Amino acid sequence: MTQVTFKVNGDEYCLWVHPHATLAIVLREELNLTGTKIGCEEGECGACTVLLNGMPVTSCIVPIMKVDGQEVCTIEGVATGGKLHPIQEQFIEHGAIQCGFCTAGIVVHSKAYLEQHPNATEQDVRNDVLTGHICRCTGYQQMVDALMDVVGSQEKEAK
Amino acid sequence: MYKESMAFVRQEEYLKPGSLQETLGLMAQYGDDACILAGATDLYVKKHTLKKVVIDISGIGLNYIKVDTDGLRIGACATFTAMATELADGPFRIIGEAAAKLGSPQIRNMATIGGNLCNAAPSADGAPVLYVLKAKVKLTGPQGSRLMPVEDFITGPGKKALAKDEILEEIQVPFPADRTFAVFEKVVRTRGLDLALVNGAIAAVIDANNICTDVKICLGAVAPTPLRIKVAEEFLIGKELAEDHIAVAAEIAANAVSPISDVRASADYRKLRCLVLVSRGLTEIGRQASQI
Repeated sequence: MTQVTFKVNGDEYCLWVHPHATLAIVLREELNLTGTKIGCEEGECGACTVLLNGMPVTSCIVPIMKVDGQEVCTIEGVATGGKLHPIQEQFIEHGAIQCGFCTAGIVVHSKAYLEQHPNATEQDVRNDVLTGHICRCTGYQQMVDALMDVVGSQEKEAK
Repeated sequence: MYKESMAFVRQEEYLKPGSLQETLGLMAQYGDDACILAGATDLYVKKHTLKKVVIDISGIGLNYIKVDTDGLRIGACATFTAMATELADGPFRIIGEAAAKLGSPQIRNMATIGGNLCNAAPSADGAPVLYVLKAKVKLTGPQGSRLMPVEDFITGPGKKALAKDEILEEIQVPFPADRTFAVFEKVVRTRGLDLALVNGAIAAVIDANNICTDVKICLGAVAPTPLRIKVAEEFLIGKELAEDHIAVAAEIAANAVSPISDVRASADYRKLRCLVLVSRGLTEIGRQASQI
C-alpha cells in the first residue's frame, strides 16, 4: 500500500491505497463519494467524469498515484452552501435526467466547460462536452437546452 | 535464480521518476517487471497487462510542443488536448486537427502522442498525419538516442520497434514543403468516444499548375498497421489533380487495402470508406490549392 494525499472538493485526504488503484474506485470506496458513477470502467462512457486540477477526466482510468498532491472536484462539490448550481437547476427544469447514471459526469464536465466558455453555443456544448458522454435515456436534447439556458442567464447577469 | 543487480519485486509499485536518466535507471533496475506509463488511457483499460512496477513518465519533462528552425518537436508526453490547442493553426495544423478527433475531451486531457504510437493500434489516430508529414521518432536508451521514420516504428497490431531498454522520447516533424496541403479524416459511428473504423491522412504538394509533385497517403484501421498507400501515391505524382485522376487514385487505394470485418464495420464497408476518404481528401486538397 502507498500513501497519497489530495484534495477533493476542497477537503484534504491522506490515504493508503493500492498503487494501481484508480481515482474512481478510491473516490467511491475509500471516500464514500458515490456520486461519481462507474459505467464502463474503460473511459468509454463518461459517467465517471470528475475534474482533476479543473480538467475533465474519466476517473475510472486515472491512476490514483497521478492524483497525489492534486485537486479533484466531484459532483458532490457542485452544489454549494446547500444551493443547487444553475446547471443542476436547469437539468431538473428541462427533464434532462431520467435514470440519472450519466448525469453527474455531464454536470461536472459542463460546469468546468461553461466557466471556461461562458458564451458557448449549442454546437460547442455538443462537440466539446457531450461527445464525451453516453446517455441511453434522454437523447441529449434536454441537456443542450438546459445548458443553453444557463449560458443565456449568465449572459444576462453579466450585463 | 536472480541477478544480484536486480531488485526483487515483492509487490506492486507505482514510481514517478523526475528525469529521463532516472527513468532509464529504473528500467534497467526492474527489467521485465516494469512497464512505462504516460496518460494511462490505453494501459488502464487493460490493467491485466500492467507489470508489477509502473513507471509513470509524465513528470520527466516530455510534455512540450515546440517549433524551432528544423521543424516541430513534440515530446512523447504531450497530450492530445495540448496538441489540438497549440497546433490549431500554422504549418502543422493538420496534426492539431487530427488530435482533436481522438476519443473524447476527457481522454484527450490525459492521452499522449507517445502512448498512442506505443500502443501501436492499427487505428491510432495520431499516426496517419505523422506518416504523411514524414515524421521521425526519437528513441532513447542508455546508449543514447536514435531516429527512426515513424512508419517503421509500428510493426504490427500492438507491436513496435522499440528496444526493451528504450523509451520513445519525442516526435520530430520537418516543415512541410511549400504548397503542401493536408487533410485528415476519422470515420466513426459516433461523434465522440469511438475508435476509427477507417482513418486516414493525405499530404500533397500541388504546384501552381495544379500538378501533384509529391503526395503521401496513409490509411489506418485497414491493415495490421497504419499503411502508406504507395501505389496510389506513385499514380498521382506528376499528374494534374483532376477529377478523373482523383477517382483512379481512390480506386487504387481501395484495392490496396485488405481490411477485416469486426464490430465496427465490415471489410467491404471499410474498403468503400477508403475510396471515399481518398476521393474527398484529394478533392479538398485541390480546393485548398486553388485558393492560394
